[in-house]
Amino acid sequence: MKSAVATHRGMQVLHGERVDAYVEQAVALLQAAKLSAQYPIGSVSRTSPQGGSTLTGYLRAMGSRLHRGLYPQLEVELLSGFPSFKEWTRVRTDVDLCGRVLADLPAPEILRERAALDAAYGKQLLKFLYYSELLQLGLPPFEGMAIRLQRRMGDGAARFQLVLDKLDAVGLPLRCTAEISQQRSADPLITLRGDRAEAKRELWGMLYRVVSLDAELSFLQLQSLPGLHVHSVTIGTVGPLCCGSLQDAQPLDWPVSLCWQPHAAVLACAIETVQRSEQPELDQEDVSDRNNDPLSSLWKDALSAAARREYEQARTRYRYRIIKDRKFVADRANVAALKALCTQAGTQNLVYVVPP
Amino acid sequence: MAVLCSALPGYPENMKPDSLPSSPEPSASPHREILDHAVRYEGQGLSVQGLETLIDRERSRQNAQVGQLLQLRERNTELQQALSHELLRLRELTEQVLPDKKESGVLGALAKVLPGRRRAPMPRASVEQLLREQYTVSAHRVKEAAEFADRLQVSERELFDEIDGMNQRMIESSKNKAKAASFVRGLMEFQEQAAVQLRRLPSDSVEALQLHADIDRSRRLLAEHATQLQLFHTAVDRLGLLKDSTRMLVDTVAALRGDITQYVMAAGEKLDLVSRQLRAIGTAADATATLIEMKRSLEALNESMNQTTRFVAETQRYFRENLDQLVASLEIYDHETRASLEVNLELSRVADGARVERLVQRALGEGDDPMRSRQHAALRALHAGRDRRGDVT
Repeated sequence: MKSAVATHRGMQVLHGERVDAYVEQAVALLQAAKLSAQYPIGSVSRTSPQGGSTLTGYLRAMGSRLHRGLYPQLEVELLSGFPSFKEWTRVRTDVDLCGRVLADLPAPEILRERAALDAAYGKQLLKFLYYSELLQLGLPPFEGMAIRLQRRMGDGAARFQLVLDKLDAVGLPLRCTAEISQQRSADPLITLRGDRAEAKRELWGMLYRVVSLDAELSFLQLQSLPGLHVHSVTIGTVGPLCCGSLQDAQPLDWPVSLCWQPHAAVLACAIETVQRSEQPELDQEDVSDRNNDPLSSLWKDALSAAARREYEQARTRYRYRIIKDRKFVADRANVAALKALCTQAGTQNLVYVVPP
Repeated sequence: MAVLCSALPGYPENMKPDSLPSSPEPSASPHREILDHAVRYEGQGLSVQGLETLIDRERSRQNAQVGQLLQLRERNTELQQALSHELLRLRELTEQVLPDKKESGVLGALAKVLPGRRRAPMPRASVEQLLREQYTVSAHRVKEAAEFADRLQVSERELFDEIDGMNQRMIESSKNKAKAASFVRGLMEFQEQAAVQLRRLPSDSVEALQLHADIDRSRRLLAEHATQLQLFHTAVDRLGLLKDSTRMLVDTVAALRGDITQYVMAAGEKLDLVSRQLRAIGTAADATATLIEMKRSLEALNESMNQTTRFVAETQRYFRENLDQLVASLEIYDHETRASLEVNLELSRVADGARVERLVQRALGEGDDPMRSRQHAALRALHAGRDRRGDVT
């Protein structure tokens, strides 16, 4: 018999009830996290009977309550505590195909009548139930890009908002929101057709590449592009996620004092914003950084003297400030450990308690 | 009775009706009990319309299955076009990966924005993004194929259920055919003996008039049961052919399902490999490791694409060699069945003695039937095509 949990090279493979226990805990954490639009929550499905975000919808689709055992296992990344890219893609593929699969299936009464006669007929009924519910969830792609015109500024210049959702390097869902202006240019990276903006594939490509670094580096990389003026870059990251159903989770910088009982569940959600100060008269204090993240420091603190000099030049030139914040969701047993962590780091963070 | 029954062609010992009155001696007076004998056929009685409906229903089911195969062929053609486009894209990706230099890092980022430093060139598309997109496209394709394999598995079960049903109907029709044949023979014997007897009697005698009345009644019964005999004969014959083509369809579906399952497994393994490499690209600490993993991903994606391309080409060839022929053979079947059913309809309308006799002979005789021979030839050709396909899969 297969073990309910298997671990290999940074990945944990869950089977059977473990999958559902994990999905339940993860969904409960995400629901309690009260994520704003700066996180990759996607649009809330209007047709979903249970409501919920894209993230919870995807996670639900990975549990056997929705797929009825059509998929025997679930791969979870140990660094992020989230399912692997393969699993997200699996749900996305199912969403893409569900309309066609449902159209090909016989009427539900026929499916129910003959389900017990043969395993092939039984599987058809399970598919009908799964795909019908999946369709109801109305899940958009988990990775995607959108650009919106914010305002025209005369002289052909315009201000835009770019939003990119993706899984980052370790598998954490993130959303990058960049606000940029583009000057009139012979070869613009963003074109306007009426009020409809369209960014070149190359611009998206760069954002996709640099967003895995951090908001500050993304800001600097975008600022280096000809014709662009970056106002702000915000990266909202969901995770890491840790719960008792994962035996060998190993998120980076996670406090050792957390207890990992089967009911334990902890989720961290970080927001990092780099904002340019548009008013030159502001004094230094108004553009000073604020780090309220107990799990992450500003990388300027680790620079060598030479690099620091260059860094300071860039800061003076672009007058931007960095704001970092993190909130937590945890089961009652782990709230004290998280609060102790924040106190030790000198930060004041929200800690939501996940309902038992 | 035993002598009479065994004289009927294709009449097995174990199917002899046991409730018919015993056969009269050649010289004895005709046994009129046969006229009062109620023949009970198994299952529901068969009418021309009923037979037509039965065959139509079975053919509709076959058509639905063939429709699915035609749909797969269409999808295959679309895939062929999409694949050539994607292969080109993969080649472009490979070119982008090779000169790839890591742009990340603090100094790298700062260098681009500091005064006096060279401005960065126009950005390139992200190779990781393109790889993920291609992975999604390939995963979509494999999933689509897996769904199709599941549908074919259900089709296979449905066709086997159809074959079971047709076997039941054939056994039933065959038993009924034997019953009808026995009864028709009995009636014909009765008519022969009554005619001999009639010649011996004065034409205005009560016995002669009674015998005339009996002969008329036997004609009516003969017309009625000869029609049944012909219908049961047609049912056995047509259902037999229908079953042959259904079995052929099952073989086609099973072979395709096997091929698709093989492809799904092979391409799925490659995609698993790619997903692990994509993960490694994300977590790789240095540029060299990323480059190596990207190249590996591309190789695995290329292999997955090649498997898809091979599979699509082989399936197209299989379709070319088999599906059109199968459809053609089913069309022949439709044409022949319509002709056969028209004969039955004609028989049910007009039933003079000579026609009944001819049709009974035809129903009972197992001699050459040009329609049947033509359809068998078509099915044989299809079998030969399938045998040739052995090297394809």
